[in-house]
Amino acid sequence: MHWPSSNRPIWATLRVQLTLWNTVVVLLLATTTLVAVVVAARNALYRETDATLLGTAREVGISVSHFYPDTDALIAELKRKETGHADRGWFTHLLTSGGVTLWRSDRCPKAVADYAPQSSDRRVNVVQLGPYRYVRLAVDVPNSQPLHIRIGLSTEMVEESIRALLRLLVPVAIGLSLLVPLAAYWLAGRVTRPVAAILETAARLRPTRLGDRLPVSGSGDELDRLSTTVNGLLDQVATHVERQVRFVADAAHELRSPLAAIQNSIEVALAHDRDPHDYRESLTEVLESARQLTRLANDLLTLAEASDSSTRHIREPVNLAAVAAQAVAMFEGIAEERGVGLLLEPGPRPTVAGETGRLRQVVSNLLDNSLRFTPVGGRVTVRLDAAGPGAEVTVSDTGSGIPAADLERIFDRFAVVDPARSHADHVRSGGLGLAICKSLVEAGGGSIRIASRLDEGTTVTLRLPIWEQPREVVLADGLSAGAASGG
Amino acid sequence: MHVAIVEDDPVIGRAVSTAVREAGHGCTWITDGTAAVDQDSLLASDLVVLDLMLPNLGGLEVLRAVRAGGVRTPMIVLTARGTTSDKLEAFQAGADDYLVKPFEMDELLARIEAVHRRASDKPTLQLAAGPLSLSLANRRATLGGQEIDLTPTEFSILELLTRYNGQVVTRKMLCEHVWGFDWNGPTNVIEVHINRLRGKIDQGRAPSMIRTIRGRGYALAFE
Repeated sequence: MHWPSSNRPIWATLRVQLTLWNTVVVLLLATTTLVAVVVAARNALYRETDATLLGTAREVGISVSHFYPDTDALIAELKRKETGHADRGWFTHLLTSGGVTLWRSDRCPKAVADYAPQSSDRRVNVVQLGPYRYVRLAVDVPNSQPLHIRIGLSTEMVEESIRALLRLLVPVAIGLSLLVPLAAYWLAGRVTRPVAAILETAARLRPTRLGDRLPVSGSGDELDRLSTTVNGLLDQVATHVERQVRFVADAAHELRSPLAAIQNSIEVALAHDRDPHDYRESLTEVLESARQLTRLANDLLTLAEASDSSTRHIREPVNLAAVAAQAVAMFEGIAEERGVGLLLEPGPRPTVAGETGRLRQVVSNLLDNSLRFTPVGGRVTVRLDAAGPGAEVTVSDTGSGIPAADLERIFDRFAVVDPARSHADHVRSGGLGLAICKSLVEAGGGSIRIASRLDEGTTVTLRLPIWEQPREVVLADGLSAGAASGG
Repeated sequence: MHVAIVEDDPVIGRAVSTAVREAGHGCTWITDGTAAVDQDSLLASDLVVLDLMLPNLGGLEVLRAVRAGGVRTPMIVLTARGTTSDKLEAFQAGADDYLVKPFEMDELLARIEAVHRRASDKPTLQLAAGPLSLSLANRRATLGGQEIDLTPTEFSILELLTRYNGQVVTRKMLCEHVWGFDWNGPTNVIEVHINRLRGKIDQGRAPSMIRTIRGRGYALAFE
């Protein structure tokens, strides 16, 4: 036998797959978030820095216009600003539009000092020069080219803040990367545990031992619904198997009586020398029993064929009224002889889809049943109805009726209704008649139902699909019409 | 008529050959499929009764081989398999008729007659037996020149009995002839009609023109 998991690689299990997918998704999300946070923090820091630098530059610009041409006072002002922001490493630089340095603070890097101002229409802009960032402001002065003020800082501090943030976030991310697979594995285990239980039970099931049922936790989730559905199927299969077993046993029992009759007749005939007349008698009995066996074998084969889904069932247009009329004609003589009225009510003449021979057999079986259980003076009526997408044949009698308790088993194979009430004829029929009717009708896409009241009568109704002209015919007409008009 | 029987089952083979001989025909019994194709006796026969389950070469293969060789001798297939597709397959292979085991010997004899007649004669529109005369064109029956009033069912029954005058006609054959299908049920639906028919054609004479052959069926018989 095969345990479902025994020969499969570990990565093929649902649990590991769930774990992998969960891990991948969570890590992707975490990484994206981390990158987004760092980028946002960096932008915010730079925006704030730029704003401060700009504000200060504008203040200095006002001082320049105020003190000019007193350069010393101007430098003192620049120094003050620089000292005020010494903790952030600010530097200041004063130069002409030609790029000549008028003054630069000690902290002002050579790279910035050597970098000539670009010709620009803009009066103010932010420049990133290597690891330095500064604001350049052009200030108009009387009788001269504009002066340029540069106030800046090293971005090393901003980058250091970002690195500090990363130093905090990266360990968290690594921790997550380690934790997530574990958590995902644990969660996947929780989810797949019921599946494992279902698998284990399912693996124990055998066609011969269908007592086990899948576990149902009662939570009502999808797995519970799966278990409930499969259990329902198992119930049906168990019932079906049980019925088949009983059917085979019943069939064997039915075979016994004609076989016993044959065996006994032959034994008696062979026991002594007898005159030809006696042999003839014995052989006739044997022949009758053999015919009974033939009938039974034919019935069993019909049932098997009708119930076998692989059988190709013929679907042809059947004139239901003709089938009913023929069945009535067949039993007219019998009905008259038994003093039972047999009537085919006038009605619609629907064409149904099915196999004529089988429908004849079904309607004849129903008529025969009704006639056998209807006493002298009673009435058997056959009626046709066309209703919606189907047509119905109803056979109703004013006979002895069937007890309600037996009604649901009436279509079972070899069902014998209340043995005390049934007479020899019924027993001999083997109870296959109605089972065959049901199988044949259902194989043809129809249905059969029965209603009965004790001592009032029984009504059996066949519902059959209406014959629909196959589409190919319409298409062929259209094609031939097109060909005719084309030629 | 000479009938060739290809059947490996010794009991059925012996029964069929005996019945065919007693019906007044010549008979050859072949027990092997390969032998059936090779033997000239098959070609010399007027009709072949062929079992489908044969050793060495199956009945369908025999049928196809013989038909491919241009042999047009009528063939009746005997088999235990009786689904619609089985029958279709046999007819497509070239069978003229088909009988499912277990079968009634009288029916086989009747079918041998019918298939042979179909292969040799033209269909007739007039049947006669003893004082009975049946016109199939207008479905009228006369007894000694006098018309008798029959229902369609009764006419059909009398038609089949007359067609097989002197031979036994089984209930199954009557059912199939009259209603187009064999009703397998427990009630004898034929007997009532036979009794009424007797009342109309016997007109008091005894024994009846329609004999009941116990365990077999019915047959016309005249003094």
